[in-house]
Amino acid sequence: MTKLLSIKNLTISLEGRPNTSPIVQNLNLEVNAGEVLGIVGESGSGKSLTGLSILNMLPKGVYISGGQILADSKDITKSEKKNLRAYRGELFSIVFQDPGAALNPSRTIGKLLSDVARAHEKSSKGIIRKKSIEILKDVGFPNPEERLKSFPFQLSGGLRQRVAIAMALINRPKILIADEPTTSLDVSVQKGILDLIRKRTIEDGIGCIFISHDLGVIAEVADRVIIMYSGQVVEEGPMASVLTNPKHPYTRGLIASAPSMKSSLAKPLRPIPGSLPPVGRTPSGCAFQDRCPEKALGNCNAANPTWSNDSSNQSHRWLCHSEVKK
Amino acid sequence: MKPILEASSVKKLFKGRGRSLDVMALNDIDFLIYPGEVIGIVGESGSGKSTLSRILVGIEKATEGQVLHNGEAVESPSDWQKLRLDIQYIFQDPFLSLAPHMTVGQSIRDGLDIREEGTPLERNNRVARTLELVGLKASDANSYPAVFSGGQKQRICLARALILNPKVIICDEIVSGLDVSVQAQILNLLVELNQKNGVGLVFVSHDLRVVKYLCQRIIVMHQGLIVEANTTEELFTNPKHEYTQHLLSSVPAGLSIAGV
Repeated sequence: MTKLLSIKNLTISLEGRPNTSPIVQNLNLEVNAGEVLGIVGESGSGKSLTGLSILNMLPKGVYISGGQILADSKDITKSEKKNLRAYRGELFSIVFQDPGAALNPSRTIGKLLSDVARAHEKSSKGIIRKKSIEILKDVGFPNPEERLKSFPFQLSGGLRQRVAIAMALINRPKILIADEPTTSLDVSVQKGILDLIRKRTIEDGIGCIFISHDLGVIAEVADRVIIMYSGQVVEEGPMASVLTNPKHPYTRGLIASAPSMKSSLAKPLRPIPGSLPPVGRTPSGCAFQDRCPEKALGNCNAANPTWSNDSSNQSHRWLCHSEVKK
Repeated sequence: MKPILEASSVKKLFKGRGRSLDVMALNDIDFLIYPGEVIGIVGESGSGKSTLSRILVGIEKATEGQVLHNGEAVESPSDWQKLRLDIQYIFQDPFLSLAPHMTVGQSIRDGLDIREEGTPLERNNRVARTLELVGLKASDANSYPAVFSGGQKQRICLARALILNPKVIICDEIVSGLDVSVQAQILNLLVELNQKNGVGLVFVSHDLRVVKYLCQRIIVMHQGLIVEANTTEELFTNPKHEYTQHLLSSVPAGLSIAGV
């Protein structure tokens, strides 16, 4: 498998707020060609910032304070501003949550696609038109020739998201970052988009990072998964292994509190008590210690919890103190 | 048992302006709510589920048809006032539905103040009891909404709805904006309120997994029509309408292998 992206010890901090904890701490991940990596986390877990940092699109007020983002044998955190355009769109692309807000309402579908294509290559209008139609077909857009003249408001939410995906893929990037791309869509439309992202990932041989708060959605789409809580990765591994054999108390809590098609009052949901720590106030030691039902087992506020590996599957690992004690 | 609330042949037409077309949001809806039951309304955006629930409490006026409360047509403003003693409504976004300049206690007390129920001291005691019922502290009454998290704010909205001892609470997507771990807390609180206090719930949601967990009876809406209505058990094991089948097959099923 070709490794397309690797992030090493990425840390993202708040600017000018030295007394706050980093909002992403020592994150490591790798993305290979032809696979979907899921990132699951609740609000404030740092999952979206991780995605944005790869494109060097972090909002004002937060910055990368440590670590490396390696792709195409370069460290992206060190690239200059003027070089950014070369790799946004060509190397990485992103699809956002709300396609209504992501598409310029005053441009037609054809113009939106050609804007993106022409930022990266100088071709004749005819060639770009052909390319646009081709990519729209790839993302399952019905009658693309006729719809090139449509405006975003004339399309349904699901079709708009297909256009956004087509824009992300038109320059054939190596990595697609999908940040909650189905959250604002209806379930019946969601399934189509999930299938599309999987299909394109496998057929085009790209790597996809799929970010979502919904473990059920990630379970449908991802090969591997990273579970984040309050800026830290607490567990990672192959999707099936993490789901069937969750190790970290937070992952277990997340699964027990998520309703599924099998849930009923006979088997009540078990919520995680308390609420998420505010941004920048992650407790030192284990991030989850205040809400952990198994807190008594470990030395939870000691610095640097250690990683443990699943004996039957070395790529499945989790970050917890209590395992050390056992 | 008599239904407490009823929609009878309700139609709702949103008039188009300029070039936009008229939209028939609800087309001849009949809908019964019995005391103490938990009903789910599911459907995709634009199906009319929110419009129906808003018409049931009079936030929106039906173009045709009637809302019946305890078997009697609700027409005059005083009829609606009486209805809202029994039927309360909670909105999706807890950040927008609490007045930021009022303390939590003031917001919750408002309904009692308007009706001038009991002495001020009695009202405050009821506020304290209701806050504890929804899992908050009595002292939280003195704080402003800004200091609470999303889940806690939704508990406050629930307390504000409960203070008048309603028979039914209409919940319009009230857990959609919450994190999964917090969402389960609110869902279990709703179950408890229903089982221990007998509060009926109308639970509007696009998330079938949540509705399946909570509701005894479900109606499925599509393009302004009720396409299927059945008990939860029947609807999920034996969906009759094509649209229901399509909806059920689209729900992410990946979690069902999870080992917790």
